[in-house]
Formats: sequence, structure tokens, C-alpha cells
Amino acid sequence: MSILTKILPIILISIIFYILLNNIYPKYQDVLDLTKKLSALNNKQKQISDLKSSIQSLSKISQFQQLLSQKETLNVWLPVKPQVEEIIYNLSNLYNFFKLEFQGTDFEISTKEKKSDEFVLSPGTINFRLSVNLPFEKLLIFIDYLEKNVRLMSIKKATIYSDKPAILLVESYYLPHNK
Amino acid sequence: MERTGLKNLFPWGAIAPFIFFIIFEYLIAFGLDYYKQNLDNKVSTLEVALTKEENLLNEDLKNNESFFVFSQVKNIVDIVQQRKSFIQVINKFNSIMPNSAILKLKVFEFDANNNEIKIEGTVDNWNDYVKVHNYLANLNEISVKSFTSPKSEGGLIKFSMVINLKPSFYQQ
Repeated sequence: MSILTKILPIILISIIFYILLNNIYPKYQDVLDLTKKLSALNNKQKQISDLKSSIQSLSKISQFQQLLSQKETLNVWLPVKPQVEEIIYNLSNLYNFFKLEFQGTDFEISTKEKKSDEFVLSPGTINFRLSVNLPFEKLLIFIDYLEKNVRLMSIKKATIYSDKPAILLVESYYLPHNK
Repeated sequence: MERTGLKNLFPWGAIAPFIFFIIFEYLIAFGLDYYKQNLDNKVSTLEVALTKEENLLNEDLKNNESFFVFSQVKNIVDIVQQRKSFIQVINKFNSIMPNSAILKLKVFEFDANNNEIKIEGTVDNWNDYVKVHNYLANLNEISVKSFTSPKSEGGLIKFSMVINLKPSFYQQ
């Protein structure tokens, strides 16, 4: 009897800790996770409604109305379609200017749009490779023209050799639109 | 007599707090279960509603002229801001490099995505190689990521190096 009296509290304390660790703590963790998830979802809901109201108020801003009137210019910088023919036209003019022959290039148009911001339409990319056989000083002017082209372009990779034509990997952009 | 025996067998006074605690724990577990179920329902309802709302919004936005122009402007600004001008990279590189009489570059490779420049070049002697390597390793704007072992060929020391461009490199 005295042994039972001594052991019983130990058994009961073990049961208490067992329940605490195996039953209550995992449930508490689950509740915490769900609370975090719920708060993230609530934030997202707020972002969506903020975006809706921002878009509604956007068209009422006078400066934005001015931007809307400049749509043509914006479409030149970042067109709605890849408009590869426009890039080819620009490139062939640029090569002609430097008395070089533009021998064409392969255009890699990304089907997957480049994600920049969750609540802004994402641009697609057009990658192409150029081979330019010019002395260094003229090559710099060629690159400068390319970078300052009205159609947005970025040089993603470039290799300049001392004894071979330079290779440029260029990225251009477009913004797909339903209309 | 028997009742007294049972009373003596279990010291109820000492056990009772433990029993109450266990019951209390089960009540908490039950409460947590109930709350969890409630949250679960709220989360799944909200998830479904948000997905629906998001899809509708996406469709609306794709057809919304104002939003399209806004996206166009935002993307143009982002692209121009994030673009690393190759001309600037070359000019900056030239300005920080040692005297071209010491170092002769054969290949210059720029990778904008990885902020890296790979150079392959030659110097006249081992002394110059050590000078160039030390000079590049101690510049604040760049860090030497890797280099191949230099080799002496035809009286010149050939080497190649991959250089990481730090954010300060792009500052004017």
C-alpha cells in the first residue's frame, strides 16, 4: 500500500506531462499555424480590396489621364505583343549605321511571363544573341545605341574578345494584354 | 470497515489535484479542438473566396485599360531601374583596373544576372601577375570569386579570373 502511495503521484504526473506533450502542444501549434494563415489571408483580402479601390480611383487622377493619352509612346517602349519585326528593323538599321551586315538572329520569346509584382501585369521577355565585329571604341557606341533604343533592351550577357567579334545576349520586353 | 480500507488504499486528498489537472487538460484539449475546427473552416472558406475573387480580379484587370497603362509604367520604371548598363560597367571596370600596359585582356565576359565579370588576359611576368592579383583582391568595389592557376606560355603569364561586382561597383 505504501509503495502504491509513493508511485501513484509519479504515474499521475507522467500522465499529465504525456497529455501536455502529445495532445495539447501539437493542437496548440496547429492553432497557431492556422491563426497565422488566417491573418495572411486577411491581409491578402485587404490588399485585393485596396487594389480594387486604387484602380477605381486611378482613372480619376488627372496626371493619370495624361499618361493614358501618352499610350502610344508607352506602347513603343513596352509593346503589347513581342513585335519581333520592330526589333529586327531597329537592329538592321543599327548594323547599317555601322556599315555591318545584320545576319539575323534567333528570338527566344518567353511564354512564361516574368513576375515582377503580384498586383501588376508581368512582362514577357524576348532574348536574342548578336554578333558584332567592330573595334572596341565603335563597339561601345554600338552598345550605347542599343541600350538607348526606344524599345527597352538590356544586355544580359556580353563577351568581348580581343581577336573575335563580340557576342551580346540581349533581352527585350513586352506586356501581354487581352485587348 | 471496507470503506475505511478503500480510503486507506488511495490517499484521495493527495490524488485529487492531479485528477483535476488531468480533467482540466482534457477540457483545454477539447477547447483547442473546437477552436481549431472553427479556424479550419474560416481558413478554407476564405481561401476559396479569395481564389475566386483573385481570378475575377485578374480577368477584370487584364481588360482594364487604366490598370494596363499603370502596369506598363510600373514595368518600364522597374526595367530601367534594374537594368545594369553595360557601358557603365565597362567604364567603371576601365577606371578601376590597373595600367593597361601591365595587363592585356584577351576576353572580357559580363553576366548581368550573376553580377560577374570573367576576364582572361596576360601579363609580362610573375611579378606583374602578383601585383595585378593583389590589386584586384584589395579593391572595394569587387571581389575575386575564383581564378585559374596562372601558366607561363610563350614568355607571357596567362590567367583567368571571375570577379564578383559589389553594389558599390554600380554606384557612380
